[in-house]
Amino acid sequence: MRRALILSAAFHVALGLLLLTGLPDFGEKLEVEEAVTVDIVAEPASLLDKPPEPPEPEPAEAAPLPERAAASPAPQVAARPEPREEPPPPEPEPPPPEPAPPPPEPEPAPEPEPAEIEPVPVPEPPRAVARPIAKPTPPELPKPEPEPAEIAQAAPKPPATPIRKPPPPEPEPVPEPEMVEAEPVEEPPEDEFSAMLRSVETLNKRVKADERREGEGTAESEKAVAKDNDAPVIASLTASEIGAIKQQIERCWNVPIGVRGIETMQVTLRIRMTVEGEVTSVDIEDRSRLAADSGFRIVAESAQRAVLSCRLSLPPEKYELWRDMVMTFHPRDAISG
Amino acid sequence: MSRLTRRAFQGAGLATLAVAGMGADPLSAQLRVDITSGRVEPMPIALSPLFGASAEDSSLGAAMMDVVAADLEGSGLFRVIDGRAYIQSPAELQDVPRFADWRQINAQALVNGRIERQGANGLGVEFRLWDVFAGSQMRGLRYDGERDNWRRIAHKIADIVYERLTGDGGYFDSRIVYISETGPATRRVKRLAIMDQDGANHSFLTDGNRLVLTPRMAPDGRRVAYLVYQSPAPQIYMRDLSSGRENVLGSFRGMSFSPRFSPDGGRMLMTLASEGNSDIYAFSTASRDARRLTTAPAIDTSPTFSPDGQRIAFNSDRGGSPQLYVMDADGGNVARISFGSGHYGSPAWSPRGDLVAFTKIKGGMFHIGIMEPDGSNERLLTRSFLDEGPTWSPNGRVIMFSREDPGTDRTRLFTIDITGYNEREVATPQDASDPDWSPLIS
Repeated sequence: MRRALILSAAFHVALGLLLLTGLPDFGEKLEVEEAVTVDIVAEPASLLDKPPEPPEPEPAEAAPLPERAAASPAPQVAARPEPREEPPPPEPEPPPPEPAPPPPEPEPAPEPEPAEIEPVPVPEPPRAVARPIAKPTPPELPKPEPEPAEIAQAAPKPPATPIRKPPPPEPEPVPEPEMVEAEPVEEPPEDEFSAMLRSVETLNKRVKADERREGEGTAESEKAVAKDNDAPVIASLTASEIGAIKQQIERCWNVPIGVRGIETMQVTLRIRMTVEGEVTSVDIEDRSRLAADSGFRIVAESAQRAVLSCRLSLPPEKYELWRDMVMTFHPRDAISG
Repeated sequence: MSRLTRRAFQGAGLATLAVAGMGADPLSAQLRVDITSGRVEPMPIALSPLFGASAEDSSLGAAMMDVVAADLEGSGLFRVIDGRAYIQSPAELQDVPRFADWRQINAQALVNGRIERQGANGLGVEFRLWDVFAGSQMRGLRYDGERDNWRRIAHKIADIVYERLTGDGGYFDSRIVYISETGPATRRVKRLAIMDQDGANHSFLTDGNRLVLTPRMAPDGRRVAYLVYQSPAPQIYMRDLSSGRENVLGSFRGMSFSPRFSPDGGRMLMTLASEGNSDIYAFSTASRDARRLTTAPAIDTSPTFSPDGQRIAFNSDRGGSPQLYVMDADGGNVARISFGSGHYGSPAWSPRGDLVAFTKIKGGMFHIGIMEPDGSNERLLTRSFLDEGPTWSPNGRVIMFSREDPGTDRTRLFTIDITGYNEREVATPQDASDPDWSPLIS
């Protein structure tokens, strides 16, 4: 009993001493542990990528615009209803027609009817957004015919469009164009176009917000990630590097403000690039909506144009991190921004 | 302990940054970037003159593209790049454009094409709209028509370009009927006039001997109804634009005014006044039967159909002051929709159906405004000494109205975007009032 008491006392004393002196050690242990952080994030990715990395198949094909597809096969008439000549009502009303001879009438001219013409094959993949020409066969324009309505049916004639050499890719983003003046009415003028946008936004609030499809492309992205495992482990792009990419694209994005309901849209692009910063492909997600919604298509094309018209300045040593990226364009923020 | 906590937070912060930068899936290195800002300005577009084989054709091709340019710039949504900056000439542009040349001047879209003569007065025109940065064709169309009709073909090209780049229908191939005015206030001469939407192809339809008012274009764009003041009472006339023939729509007791067509052109709404009471009637242009739609002991006037023909907006002082009301096409379910301060008048239902334009008098000033058909979201677009008579562009995006200058009898036509911006005067040879915008010419 006594022995036990002594033992217990000794143990408590030892415990007390340990508590007093031992704390710093715990702290250090934890510190060591914490050093793992970022590397762990990067590691599995590179491991995963290692085995089956097929060389990224460069998409020779960036989906042709629906318009184009529609236009290609057969020139079709955008049929407008043919004007019917209305016979003047046979109304023998008392007040006689105006005595003065009717002044010259505006022409009741025959309707110029449109006919679709085939797209000319575009020889040059512009900065690699390759849009393989849907049909290698020569395009052509329907023969002119006196009767507008029938033109669409006319047999296509062989095209005489020589293929040109692709011009060198290249453009620098050019200085900002200036704006057309218009007079604001009630609100204090700020940026007219921003104001126009905001107003359109309020006018079109009925349209429901669209859900962007998420997650698509992650499987592909896994293989797209650094296949070069010998490269030094790169933690990530820094916040300022990502911010720089964002800013560069934002300077190149001309928001198509005329599109109704634009504030409810969101466009996601998958972009692949060369180490020199050349865009090799830009694919628009949600292709089904692209075909069905002309407004969405216009916003999507504006986003695509922003990517294509921008020459991005990117850190080459981190190529593996930006060679394949996903950009989501938010018109609502751009409008209200 | 505090050290531990801080470090843990730092670690968590780093991890968050990495995830934000690398995507939601931590295993994926795919970079994700959100674009939340952009340039908000008219789209820069290049319009290359249409190529013609002869000098004469080339100058016509250039004139046509000038019309397209004026249309597109007039909308406020496009900036046409000065032709002197174009690197590729119209002759070189007959095939696929050298996109690099157009990227160089930051043209986001390009229109090119050519014209060719066909016989004595025939004209073949084809054009293509290109996405310069994507390097692809967006539209390609051909028109065959009469040479004299070249402006209309140009307007049609502008409509196609506008539609493809904004997603909204165009409105350029349309016409305006209005009342042209000359002379002092005491002896004002008023004539019915018609012109293209851009003021071209202007002509007078009446000679000024009779007082004419409130012209309204039929939905087919081929007839005009208008009011003629003559003894013993004003009458509503209908004029066929191609034959020039006109006749009285009907003989009504009392005064008739404010004619407006139904969307299918088969009926007309009008106001008939007798013994101090004005009511709205629907009149069949075929059977000539008139049916009374309102019975209130008040002034009910300025009726306008919704584009589906199911409802009618009108103006009434039945509540004590002129306000806007909506009712079913048969006169049932009347509901007041304007509740703001001031007086409202001359409603015009948008061809898209989403808005009703009106004139509002408040604080001694006139405004053109818009509201939704249930009266919500009222917005005033203009403010002046006297603005009145709104009429809609065929796509429901632009409103035309007449404005009188203070201290003069000068009245002119203006257009304004429904956002309240891009107000522009529409040039007319003389003073102008009471405009009515036709649908797209079919």
